[in-house]
Amino acid sequence: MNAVKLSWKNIRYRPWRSGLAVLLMASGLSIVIVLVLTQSQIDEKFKNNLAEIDLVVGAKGSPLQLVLSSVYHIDNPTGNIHEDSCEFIKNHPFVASTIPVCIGDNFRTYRIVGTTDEYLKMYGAQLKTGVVWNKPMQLVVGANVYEKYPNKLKVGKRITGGHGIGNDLLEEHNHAHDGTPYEIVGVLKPTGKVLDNMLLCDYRSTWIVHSGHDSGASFDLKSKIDVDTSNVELQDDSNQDSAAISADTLVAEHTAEAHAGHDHSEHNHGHHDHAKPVLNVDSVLKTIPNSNREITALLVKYKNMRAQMFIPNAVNKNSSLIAADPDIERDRMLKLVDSGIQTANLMGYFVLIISAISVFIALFSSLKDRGYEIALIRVQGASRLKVFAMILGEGLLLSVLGYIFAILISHVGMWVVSGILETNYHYAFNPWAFSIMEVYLLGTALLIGLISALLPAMKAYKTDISTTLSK
Amino acid sequence: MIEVKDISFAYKGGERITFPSFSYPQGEQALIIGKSGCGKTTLLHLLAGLISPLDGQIDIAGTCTSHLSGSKMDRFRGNNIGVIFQKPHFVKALNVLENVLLAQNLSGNQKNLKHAQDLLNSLGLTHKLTAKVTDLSEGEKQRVSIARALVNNPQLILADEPTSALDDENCAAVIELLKRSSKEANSTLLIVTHDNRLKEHFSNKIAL
Repeated sequence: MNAVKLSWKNIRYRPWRSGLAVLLMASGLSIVIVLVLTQSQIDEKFKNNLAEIDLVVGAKGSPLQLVLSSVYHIDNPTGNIHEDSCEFIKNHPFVASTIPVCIGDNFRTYRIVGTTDEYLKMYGAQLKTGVVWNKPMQLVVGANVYEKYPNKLKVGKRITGGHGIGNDLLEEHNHAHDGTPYEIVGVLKPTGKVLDNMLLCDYRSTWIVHSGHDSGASFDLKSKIDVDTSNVELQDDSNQDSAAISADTLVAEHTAEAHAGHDHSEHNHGHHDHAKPVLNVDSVLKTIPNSNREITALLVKYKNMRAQMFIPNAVNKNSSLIAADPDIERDRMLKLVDSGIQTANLMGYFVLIISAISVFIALFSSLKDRGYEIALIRVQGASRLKVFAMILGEGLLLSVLGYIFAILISHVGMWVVSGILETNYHYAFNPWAFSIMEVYLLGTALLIGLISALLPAMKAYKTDISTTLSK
Repeated sequence: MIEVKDISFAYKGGERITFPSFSYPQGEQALIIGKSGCGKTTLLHLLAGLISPLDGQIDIAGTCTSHLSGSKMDRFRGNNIGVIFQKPHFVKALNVLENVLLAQNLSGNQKNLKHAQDLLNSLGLTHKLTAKVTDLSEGEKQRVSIARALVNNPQLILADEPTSALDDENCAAVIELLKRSSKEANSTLLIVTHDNRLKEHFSNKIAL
């Protein structure tokens, strides 16, 4: 029956009071731990994905939204811009390079991002299998996406994208681009960056995919693919009916994947001819007018920092464009996140203070009916100091228990939240990453236990054995 | 052996109480009797070193305890004095055996599980080793108190009204056990009481 065992037995003897103290301690600590872990992982993710982008140019709207959508791929795009309206940026002497980004389609909620191979180079992406696309409608699959659908996304397979960036996996009514399948040509190694959660292709692919339903112009792509003819011309805006007709003629192209999220009840499956027509990309591209050649954003890399003085101004003069500095937007965003986290942190510390009070009350009130026990222990040979240490030990034990529960709660909590984030945003946290702060928090927990046990321990120290026993 | 010489004590703002001198050889048993409020418990606390006398001297087994102070007295008491109280109190979070073992641990002695068990067995508590202390009858509680007081083989056993809460039958049983166990451990036994039932059991009596 040593001192630690005695402390433990005393804590267990009063399960409700001790339990409340442990629960409050665990709650306060886990709030702080979760926030620390979240903040460090957000910071890391946001710094990681900036790469070497000096400026993002996109459709007028919130610059923060532009950066979030085109660089971090977590928000909806601000809109599209015409490719030719960016010509002056590409040709500007201060600009080293530009990379177009086209967002708008998804495969099972994973974004299909149209860009150039420069994008892969910028993030240092490496192929695991296959090759990089050399023409539109060829896909390179990010590591996480591949891991999720390894069978559907093998090199050589064909898939169709769904319209929209698909934040909701259950959104079955997602319009599917059944008529224009992509071919998988490569799979990337994991990068730990946004790329892992994307399918990438030539940015012109989106023009081909979207040519059928853009802005009311019923540009009928399907019939042209079908006949693979070079005799292509722009369909008249008034020719609304042909789209409906061509939908039936294209049934042949449907792959198994193409059925996902699309209602085919109207189609006559008996007429299926499974020969896959070759998509003549070049000829289709020729049919797409400049007005339909749109991109979501242009990522700009400066040649030198003097560009900072000129390019954003030049872009913002254009009424339909906006220039966003990703560093500034990221810092602004992190500042927002930080202030949120700070507020939540205050709450965590507030709960910790409450938990300190509850440890104090648990010990103090238990001492009230343990006065005789303390005297008894003294009679049996324990010194004042030993009794003092015993009560402190109980406080420390309560806080250590609280700490252990906090570690469990916070990491399991992170695991759950990470799963939700992964499903909804493809932005996963590593719930089993540990922060050095957790070690410091053990110190904090012990300190709280020590401080709140101090007064009760003093009371026990001062117990007058003779008076207590005479009562 | 125990020797008490000219000790006196006064509570804050109270009158000075002077106690008679006495001395007994090791292993002797004696009653200290007197009316309520005459300072019986005060004398017991003085002997146990829970309070210090204003003057005079107390010698227990060759140590002048009235001059020991603080943690030295605590250690001496833990090793050499076993105390049995009128109302037996225990550490409620511990069971019967654990309470006895705690006394062993607090005295700084080596853990001796067998000795603790033997002691409880000899007091008829074999089947109560793991019982909650709150579930015991008064007679059983007092027997556990005896085991706890004896577990360190003390030089001196002090008992404060050990039988006042017990009926005649339990009273006789408890006092017999106390006498027998003290004899076996060769401990000096001093019982402070106003319980007339005990007088016939002891030849040595000190009246306050």
